[in-house]
Amino acid sequence: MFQKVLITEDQHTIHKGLEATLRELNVNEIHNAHYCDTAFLKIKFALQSNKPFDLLITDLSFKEDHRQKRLSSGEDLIMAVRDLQPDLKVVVFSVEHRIGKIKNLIDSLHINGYVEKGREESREIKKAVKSILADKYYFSQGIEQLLRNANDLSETDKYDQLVLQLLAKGLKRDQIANYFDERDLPNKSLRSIEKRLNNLKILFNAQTSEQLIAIAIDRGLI
Amino acid sequence: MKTSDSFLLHYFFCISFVFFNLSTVSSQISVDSTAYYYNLALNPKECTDLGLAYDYFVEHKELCLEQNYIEGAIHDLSLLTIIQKESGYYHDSEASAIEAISLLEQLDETDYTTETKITLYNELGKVNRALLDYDRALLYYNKAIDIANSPQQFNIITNNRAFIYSDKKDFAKALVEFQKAYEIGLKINNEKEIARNLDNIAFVKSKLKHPDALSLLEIALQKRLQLNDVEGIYASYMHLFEYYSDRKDKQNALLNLKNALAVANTLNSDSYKLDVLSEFVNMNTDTIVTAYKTLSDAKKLDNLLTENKYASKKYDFNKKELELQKNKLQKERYQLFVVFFLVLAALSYILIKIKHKKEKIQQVFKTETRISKKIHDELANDMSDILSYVETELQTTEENKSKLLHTLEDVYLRTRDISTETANIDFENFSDSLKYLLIQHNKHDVKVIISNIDVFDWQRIPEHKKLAIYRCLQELMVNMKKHSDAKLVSIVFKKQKNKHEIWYTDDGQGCSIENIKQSGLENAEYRIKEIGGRFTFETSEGRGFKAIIIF
Repeated sequence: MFQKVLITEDQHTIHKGLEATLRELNVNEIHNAHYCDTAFLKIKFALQSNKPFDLLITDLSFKEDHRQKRLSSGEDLIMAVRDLQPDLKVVVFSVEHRIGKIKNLIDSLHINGYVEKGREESREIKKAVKSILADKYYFSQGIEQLLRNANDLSETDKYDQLVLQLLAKGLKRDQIANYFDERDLPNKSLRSIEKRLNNLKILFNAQTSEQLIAIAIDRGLI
Repeated sequence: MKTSDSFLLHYFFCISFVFFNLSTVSSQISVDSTAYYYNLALNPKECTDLGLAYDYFVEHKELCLEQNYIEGAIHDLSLLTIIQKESGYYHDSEASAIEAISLLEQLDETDYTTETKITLYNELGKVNRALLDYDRALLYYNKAIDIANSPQQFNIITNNRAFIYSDKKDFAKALVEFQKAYEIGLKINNEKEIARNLDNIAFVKSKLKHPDALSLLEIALQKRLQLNDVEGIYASYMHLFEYYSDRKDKQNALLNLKNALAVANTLNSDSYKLDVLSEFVNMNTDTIVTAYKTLSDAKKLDNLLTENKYASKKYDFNKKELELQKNKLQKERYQLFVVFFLVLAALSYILIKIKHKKEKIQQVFKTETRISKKIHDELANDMSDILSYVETELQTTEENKSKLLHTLEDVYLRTRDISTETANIDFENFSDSLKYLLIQHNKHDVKVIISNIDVFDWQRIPEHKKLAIYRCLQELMVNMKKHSDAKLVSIVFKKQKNKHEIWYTDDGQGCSIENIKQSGLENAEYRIKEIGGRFTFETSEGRGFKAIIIF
């Protein structure tokens, strides 16, 4: 189990709850910080004293007050910690559920887990700690779902629009391929064009090319 | 010499009178009486004629000015100038002429205005000559020459200018001018005019003691006799008289003076007669008569000079004329300034409005962000805390707990949504921000398709516009999630010339117009209008929803 855990959270009751949960997991040393700046100093001090933290649980957003802050958000803290102690495991514990923010945490700040606050939070924290201990990532249910959907996002590009336009003009698949070939556009082979058209049909739930054209016109793609 | 230049100028008045006649046909002012008094002014028969004409034209001028009929007023003033000059009211005459010129300045320049102006300047020259103010006379003649454009005009004005030099006893200059006038006269081929010019040259030559002076004077006289130019003949006799008088040839001088008196009697011109008789008196050797004549002439001159001094104070023509020009310049400058100022004011108004709008939008955004953070940090956190507490610590029946948790979770999610809806936006990586906003609504049962998002040059779109687009799409997505049950949502980005288009389409239930009013779509529409764009939508119940943003 993790020996030394730091909780960065400005809400007192949440602190208590988290602490209780961690105790149930037999974590020995639990430290608190109400500000990102103090959290960073504690991590730095622990590292210098050769007693480094092995887990950081942090919120993202903190209440504004009179203090002048160097690190004003969880993102700032994680970024600073990544330079100072790259191997420190980090779990984000927040109500934030905007996919942009979360994607950034995963892709750029390489967090190890993300737990959404809410009724399931203590159960999920436990799961997260166990998973990370086993060197696995953990994302709470809602976030997992969100990430799956995001990866599932369908985007079409200008070549899709061009193919639809040419199709609407009455060009056959091979003629579209020729058109692409003459202008040296990417994916110009007949197979690529066919693949593109099939993907578009699936995307827009179209059975036939005629249906696809009608949908494309209706939705402004042509 | 006095009359030799006056009658030809009537030629100008005839021209301007024709013009005047034409232009008054439609006006309410009686043309007939104007014509009658016009004749009275230019060819007075009775001693009261000038007075009658004077009264008529003063009144007529006021009438014209009241009706804003400037051309009419100018014509009246021109005639008043002549009437006053003929009556010996030289200063009043000058005032009338200057008033007429100032009115002419208000009109657009035409041949008519130029012609009238030349006539008036010429009259001013003559008036000042009569007042013995030769420098002013020359000034006006020069002004007339500057804008003259026909040989007739050049001929007359050059002649008049020569008279001034002659009066100033600068005969050499006078000769040059008269010769110039003569050459122009030859071109016009007007016999009367040529004879006049010849006579004038001869007269100046006699003063300069040129040997051919006498023969030239006689040639001119012969010509005039042939042409039966009575006024010309009178002038010739007077010049011959002066020729002999200068040379102390009393006999020939007297002969010519008698001839001049005979002509003056035929013309029945008092002023001619007076001139001739005055010379007769000069010829007299009686000491008492000579003394009277000398004193009388001196007194006349003195009166004139006194009057001049008084008049120059009264009218201050130089100043008036300067002011006229200054006013004209100032008027132009003023107009230019007004135009410039208006353009500037309009521009700054637009700029301030744009700036104000931007500032307002930014201010709203800042406030929203601040409130969002507060809701997020305080309310949402508290809500999650309470949820956690109820879940783990609260001792109650399972049923109650479940009910409570359900309600609390609903409140929690709504709190979070409010926070999200107004949260900060990353404008730097705007296309990503927008993508994430749309992804958020991509679920297993709702497919979101984004098409060609990078076709816009997002870097070049200002922040306040990005904000409006973000919020508008956010509103559309929230609306879709709440009401529509859509399966497929597409957001297509299109660039048409300078216009950016965003097509939102879903295949949901759609809605009726009343429902739209209640939803946040009105707000979305307002935001797009605020950035100078257009927001249109198409929907009906059961037929999906389509919105097009153009900016």
